[in-house]
Amino acid sequence: MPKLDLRHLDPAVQKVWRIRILIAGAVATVAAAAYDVLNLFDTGRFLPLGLATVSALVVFGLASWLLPRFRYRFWRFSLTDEELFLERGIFNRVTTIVPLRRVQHMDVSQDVIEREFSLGNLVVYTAGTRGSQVILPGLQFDEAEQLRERIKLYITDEPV
Amino acid sequence: MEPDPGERRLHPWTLLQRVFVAVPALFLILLPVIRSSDGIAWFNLVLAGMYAVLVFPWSIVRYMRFRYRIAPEEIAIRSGVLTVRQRNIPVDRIQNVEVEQGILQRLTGTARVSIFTAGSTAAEGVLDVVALGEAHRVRDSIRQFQSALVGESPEDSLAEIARAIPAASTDAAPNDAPQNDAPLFEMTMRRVILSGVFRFSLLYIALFFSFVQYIEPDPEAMIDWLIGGRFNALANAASESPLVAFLSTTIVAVAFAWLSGIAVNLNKYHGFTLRADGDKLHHKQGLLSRNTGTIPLRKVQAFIIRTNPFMRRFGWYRLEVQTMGFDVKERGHKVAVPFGTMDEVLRTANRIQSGLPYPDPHGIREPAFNAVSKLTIRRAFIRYSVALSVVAGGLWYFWSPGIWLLSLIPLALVGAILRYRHMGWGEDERWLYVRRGVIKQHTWLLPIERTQVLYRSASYFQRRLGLASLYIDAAGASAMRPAEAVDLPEDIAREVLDRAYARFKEIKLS
Repeated sequence: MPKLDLRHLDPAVQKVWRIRILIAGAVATVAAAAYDVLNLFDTGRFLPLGLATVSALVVFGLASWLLPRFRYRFWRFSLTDEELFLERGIFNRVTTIVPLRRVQHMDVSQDVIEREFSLGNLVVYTAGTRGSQVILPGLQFDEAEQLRERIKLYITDEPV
Repeated sequence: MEPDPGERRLHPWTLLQRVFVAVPALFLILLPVIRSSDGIAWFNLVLAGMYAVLVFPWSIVRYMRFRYRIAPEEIAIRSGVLTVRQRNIPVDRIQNVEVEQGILQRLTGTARVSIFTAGSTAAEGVLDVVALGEAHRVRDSIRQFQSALVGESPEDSLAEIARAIPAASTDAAPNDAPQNDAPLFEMTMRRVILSGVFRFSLLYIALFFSFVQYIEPDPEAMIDWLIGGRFNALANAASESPLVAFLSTTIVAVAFAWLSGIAVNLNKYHGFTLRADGDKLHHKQGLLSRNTGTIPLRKVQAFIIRTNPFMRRFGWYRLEVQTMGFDVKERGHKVAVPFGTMDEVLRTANRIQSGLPYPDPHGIREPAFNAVSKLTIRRAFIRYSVALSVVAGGLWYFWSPGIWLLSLIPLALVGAILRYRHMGWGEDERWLYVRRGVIKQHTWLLPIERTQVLYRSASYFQRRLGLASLYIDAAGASAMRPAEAVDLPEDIAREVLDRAYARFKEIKLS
């Protein structure tokens, strides 16, 4: 097993994850606030005034603070000549082995937030069902491209 | 991403075509504005403005960003507005290239190129609008590169398969009859009817009753017409005693379910035969409509043996073949033995893919299964009880006697124990076996050489108990019902996975 040189992701990926959670949180908070404002004078409210807004703020605040740290802590990977090995998950810890000769094709992608930190994802596709798409996030963009070039060299197997 | 030499854009018609496609939506948004004469529908006007301001520049940027390059070894496609993506598809992975022309495209002399690899049904690479000549150039150059690849390195895998398969079938069938004449499996009439007896499904009753409800007959008139008053005594008894009414309804429903099951199976599996022909399997079946199909042997990814407690009690099973192909018709689960004994099922599986370990000298037997950890009972019991409590609580909120649902909690324990009893896993040099399911019992026979991705996972609760789950993903596997071995002791899960992966590597190297 390629246990030896497991690597962490780029630490900047925590910021990307945090921003994503904060954006979702902003949307949720606005929605909750809208609920509170619209029911301001409604005596038969389902929820006490302000509870929705405050809980949205608290939940997403905590999530944006904690989730990226833990997710980062448990995300490890290694790429050897024969396989891509991933280990991840806060609650559900998953180990994935992708034999490189099973790789069908690959994506290197980058969204707007990732571009700010010049990060990118490497997505590896296989012919499997659960494993049809294996995502390796939080790489420096040019490193993601390098990994792709390396994996390309080892795609040798026959197609399914 | 710097532009590469040899990169191409789509045909400029792309833009016009996308605008053309966007116009109806715009018109729909503007419809209230056009219809109301005094222009009160300002909201729609704003919406249309936003739509135009966003969608048209978006289309332009999308067009500008889209580039593709056909190189000898791969196809590279760059795309995306907010999320930029570069996709690389190795040429030898491409299974099919489709060139399509719709009406719009035929008018403009353009075409759409879809590139498929194995795996999903969706095209992995799509060139939306290219000139027809360019479409053919793309397709031809992919084919050229592919044949060049095959030419320079004698495709050992294909040769290997070609060698392996005739050997496999002669190994398995050492009789003097030619291959084509002896079917691997056949359903006799008796067997078809018997299988129908086991195909007891309430679905047809539901269909029947919904049909009855749909035509809304007058029940009394209909009964009179049907039996002409001969069973008036019975009818009177039914109207007087609800028990009799209930019993007779149940009996009629069961009889109907049974007969309809037999009829459906008769129609579906009448004359089922499965034959091996070189490197292919042919199957045909059906009474009213005769269906035939072909399964290339090298597309077989796994075997699934299915049964239920009722069928199992009488020793009946069903064999399905998990296949894989770029064509929708070729993927999924195909029935190889609709209804047979374990002996027949294993014999057929073994003739489809030899090397199944259990035609051992003592005859064919089921693979030996190891039990998973007993702690799985505890986990399943807690899970079922929590689910039951949530349902009971929700029901109680609206209807207070609903809390009595909690009295079913002992059943949760029974369910958890049954689940444990029916779960198992096994392994040997070339196969991994997983068994699961209480009502719908599935046994997967997974050839290790067909592994796509290997997984080991442990949730928080599993880790607390030192458990883990194991899953080997193969092409065409069902997402709803994965062949996952749940709640193995952690160290065993680790060992089994490592061993399976080591074997996978060995198989391919030799």
